Amino acid sequence: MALLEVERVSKRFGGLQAVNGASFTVEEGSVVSLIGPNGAGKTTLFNLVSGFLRPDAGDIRFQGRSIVGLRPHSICEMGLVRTFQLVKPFRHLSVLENVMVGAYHRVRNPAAAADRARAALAFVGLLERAGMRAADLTTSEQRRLEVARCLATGPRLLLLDEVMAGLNPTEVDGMIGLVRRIAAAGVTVLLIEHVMRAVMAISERVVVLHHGEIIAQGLPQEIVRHPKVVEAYLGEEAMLA
Amino acid sequence: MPPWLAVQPELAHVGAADAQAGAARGAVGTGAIARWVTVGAVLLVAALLPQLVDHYFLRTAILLVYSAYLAQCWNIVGGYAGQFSFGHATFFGIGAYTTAILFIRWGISPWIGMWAGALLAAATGVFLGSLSFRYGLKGPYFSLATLAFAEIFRILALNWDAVGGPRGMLLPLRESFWNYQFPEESTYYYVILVMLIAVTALVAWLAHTRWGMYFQALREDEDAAEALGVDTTRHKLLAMALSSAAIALGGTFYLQHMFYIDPDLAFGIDVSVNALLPAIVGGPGTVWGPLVGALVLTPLGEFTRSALGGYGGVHLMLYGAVLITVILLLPGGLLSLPERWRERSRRGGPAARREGERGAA
Amino acid sequence: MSIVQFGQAVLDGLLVGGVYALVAAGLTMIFGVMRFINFAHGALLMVGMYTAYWAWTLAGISPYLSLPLTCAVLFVLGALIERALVHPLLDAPEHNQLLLTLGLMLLLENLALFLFSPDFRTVRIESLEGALAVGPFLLNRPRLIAFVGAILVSTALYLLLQRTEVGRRIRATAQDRDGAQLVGINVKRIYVITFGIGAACAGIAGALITPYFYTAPHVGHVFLLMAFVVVVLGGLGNFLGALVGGLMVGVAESVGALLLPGSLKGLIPFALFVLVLFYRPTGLFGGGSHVA
Repeated sequence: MALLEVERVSKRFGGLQAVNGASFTVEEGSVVSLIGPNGAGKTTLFNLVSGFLRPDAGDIRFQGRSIVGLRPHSICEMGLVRTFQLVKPFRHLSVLENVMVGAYHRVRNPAAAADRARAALAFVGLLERAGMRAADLTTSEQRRLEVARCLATGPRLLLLDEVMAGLNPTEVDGMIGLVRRIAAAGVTVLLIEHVMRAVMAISERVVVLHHGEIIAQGLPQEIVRHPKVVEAYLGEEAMLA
Repeated sequence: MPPWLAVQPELAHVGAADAQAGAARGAVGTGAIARWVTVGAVLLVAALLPQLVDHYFLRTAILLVYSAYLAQCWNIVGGYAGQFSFGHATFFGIGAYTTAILFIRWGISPWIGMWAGALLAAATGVFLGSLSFRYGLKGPYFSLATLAFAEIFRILALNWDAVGGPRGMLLPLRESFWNYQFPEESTYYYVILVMLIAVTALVAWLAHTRWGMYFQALREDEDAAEALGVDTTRHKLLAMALSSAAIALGGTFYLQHMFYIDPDLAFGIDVSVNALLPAIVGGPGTVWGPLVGALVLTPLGEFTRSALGGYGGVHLMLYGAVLITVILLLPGGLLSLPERWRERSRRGGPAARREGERGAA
Repeated sequence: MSIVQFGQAVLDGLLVGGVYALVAAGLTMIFGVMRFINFAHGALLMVGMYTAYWAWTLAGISPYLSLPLTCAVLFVLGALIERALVHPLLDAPEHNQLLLTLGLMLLLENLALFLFSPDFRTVRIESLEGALAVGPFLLNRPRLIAFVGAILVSTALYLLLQRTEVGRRIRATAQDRDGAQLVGINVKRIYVITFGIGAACAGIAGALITPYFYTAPHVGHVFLLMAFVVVVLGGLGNFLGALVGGLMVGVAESVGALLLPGSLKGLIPFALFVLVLFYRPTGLFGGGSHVA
C-alpha cells in the first residue's frame, strides 16, 4: 500500500475539465515531482488531494484511508500538509508565531509550541528571523517559512507547490538542499515544480500532467526522453534548463 | 518511531539559539517590568478615581470603562478572529432582556440572571454563526448578515408584548446589592471596572494560548490555517460564543445602571457601532486597543455633546469622521502608530534617501 | 385575501420596486466597476431627498423639476467622495471598505440630524395627489410618477452604458481593469465618473420619492438594505439583474406585507436579505461581475 493513492480522479470547472482520470501513487519515503506545462492541472490536483476541492469522480487514499470529502484540517491531522503557490504567510504575526500555528497541531503548551517552532525554523535556516514580522521577509524566506510551518505539524507527506518559483540560482540550490534534508528526515515529499534542474536533482520519480491527464510516469531520465512529454513541452524552454 | 517524528531529534539542539531568541523577545527584560509598573499605576488611579473626582466626571468615567468593555468583547471575535460583526447588539440585547425578564417576572437576582443571559447569548452566537459559516458567508457578507440579524431581533422585540414591545421594560426600584441596584454611583463604577479588568485579562491570556493563536491565524489567512490543521469553523464559533457571552454581561450592566431597556436601546445599530468603534480606532487585535480607543472616543463624544448639544446622535458625526480618518490613515488603529514610525525610520527617512540619490548619481 | 387585493399588492410592489431598482443599479455599478462596497449608499439617497425638499421649501421648485439639480449635486458629491476617500481603499481589505463607508454614513446622517433635526418632513404637491383608477386597481399618483421616473433614468443609464464611448470604457474597466489601462483608458477618471453616477442614482431615487415618502436623516437605512438585497439577488455588478431584482423584491415585500401582521412587516426586508445571502450569494442571474 502506497502512502498516497490517487485513483482516476476528475474535476471539472464549468466548461473546463481541469483534471481527467488522473491516477498515480506516492510511496512512503520517496520524493516525487509532478510536472507539466502551465495550466496542466497540477495545482488543482494539489487542491483535490489536500481537501480544498472535492473531486467529481475517483478516489484519493492516504495511508489506505479515503480522504475524499474530508476538510483540509482533518487531512492535516492524518499527516498530509501542503504549501501554497502564492505564499500565504500570517502577515501580522511574527515568523516564530507563524510556525507556532503549525506546532500547535501537535502540542498544546505555548512554551512547547515555541520550542518546536524554533526547531523547525532552525531546520530551514530561518531562526535568526524568528522575531521579525512575516510580512517583512523576502520571497525566498517566505517560501522557507511556509515549509517550516508545515514541518512543525509533524507531517508524513509534504506537498510543495512550486517552492522554487522566482528564486535565483543560489536560492534554488538552497531549496534543493532543504528538500533533500526533509526527505532524509523521513518525510515523503510530492512537489509541483517547473524548475527542471531541481526536478532532475531531487526526484526519484516524475509524474507528468498535461491537459489534466497523466501522460507519463517514471524515472527522471526516462521522462526527459519520453516522446509525449517532449511534445507537450514543445515551445516551453523549461525542458532545456 | 513514525517517520515524521524523525524530524525532531535532528533539530533538538537549539539550546543556544533558544536563549538568544528568548532574550530578543524580552521575556523577563526591562521592557516587561516597565509595562507592569505602568499597568499597576493605571489600576491604582482607576481604583481611587471615585474619591478623586466629582459626580459628573464619575459618570463619564463609567461611560468610558463601559465603552472599553463592550469594545474588548467585540475585539475577541472582531479583532482577534477577524470576523467583523456589525450586529453585536443582538447579544447585548439578549443579555439585557433576559436579566430584565427573570428579575421582573420571577424575582431572580440579576447576578444570576446575567449568566443566563450570557448563556443564551452564547448559544445564539453559535447558532447564527454556524448558520452563516455553513452557507459560506465570509468577510463583508458575514458583516452584513450580522447587521440583519440584529435588526430582526429589534423588530421581533418591538412586536413581542411579553417583553413590553415598544414600551420596553422598566426595572422596579428595589435597591440592594443582591438586586444589582446600588445607592452609590461609585459601586456601579467598580462593577464595570472589575468587568473590564476581567475581560482584558482574558484577552491578554487568550492571545498567548493555542486558541488565541488559532484565532489570529484564521484571521490572517483562513486557507493557510485550515491547511495547518486549524478547524477554522470550530474556532470561529468559539470566538463568537466567548464574545457574545461577554457582551451580554455588558447588556445586563447597562440595564442595571439605567433601569430601563427597549428594543432600540438593546438591539439598535448604535449599540453595534459603539461596540466596534473603540476597538477599530484603538487597534483591533491588540489587548489595549479597545481601551485606547475608548479613552480617545469617550471624551470626544462627551465634548461634542455638550458643545453642540442638539439632537441625540450628534457625537456620531464626529465618530464617523474619526472612523474615516483612522481607516484611511491608520488602518491598524492608533496602537499601530509606533510600529509605523519604526518602519519609516528603518526604510530610511529623508536623509537616507538623499544618501541613496547621491550614491546613484 | 382576494385576487384584487393580491393584484393591488403586486402593482404596489412593482411601483416601489422600480425605485429599488434604480438605487440598486447605482450600488451594483459601483461594485461591478470598482469592486467597492458602498455602505453609504442609503445616506446618499437621503442627501438627494433633502436636496429636493429644500428646493421645494425654499424655492418652490417641484422635486421633479429640480431633478437636474439633485443629479448634479449628488454626482459632484460622489466624485469628491471617490477622490478623497474611496480611491485609496480600492485595493484594501473589504472590511475596511465597509468600515470607511460606515463612517461616511454616520457622518452624513448625523450631519443631517444636526442641521435639520430628526423631524420627519414631507413634500406635499396637491396637484399630484390622489390615485389613478385602472380597472379595480388604484395606482397612487406620486408612486406612479416615481416608478416612471426611475424606469426612465435606469433606461437612460443602460443606454449610456451600451451606446456611448464613456459607457464602453466603464464596461471595459469593469471587465478587466489592467486590460483597460493597457488600451489607454484613464481608469482613475472612470472610477470617479462611476461613483458619481452611482451616487446620482441614489440621489435621484431619493428626490423621486419625496412626494410620498418622509424625509428624515435615517431614511436611508431601509433603502440601503433593500439595495443590498437586490444587488445580491441580481448578481453583484449585474445591471440588468439589479433592475429585474428590484421589481421582484418590491413585489415580494408588498405581497409579504399583505400576509404579515402589523409592524412585523419591517421584518420582510431583513428576512429577504438573510435568505438571499444564504441561498444565492452569486445571485439569481449567476455571478455576473459585469456591468450590463
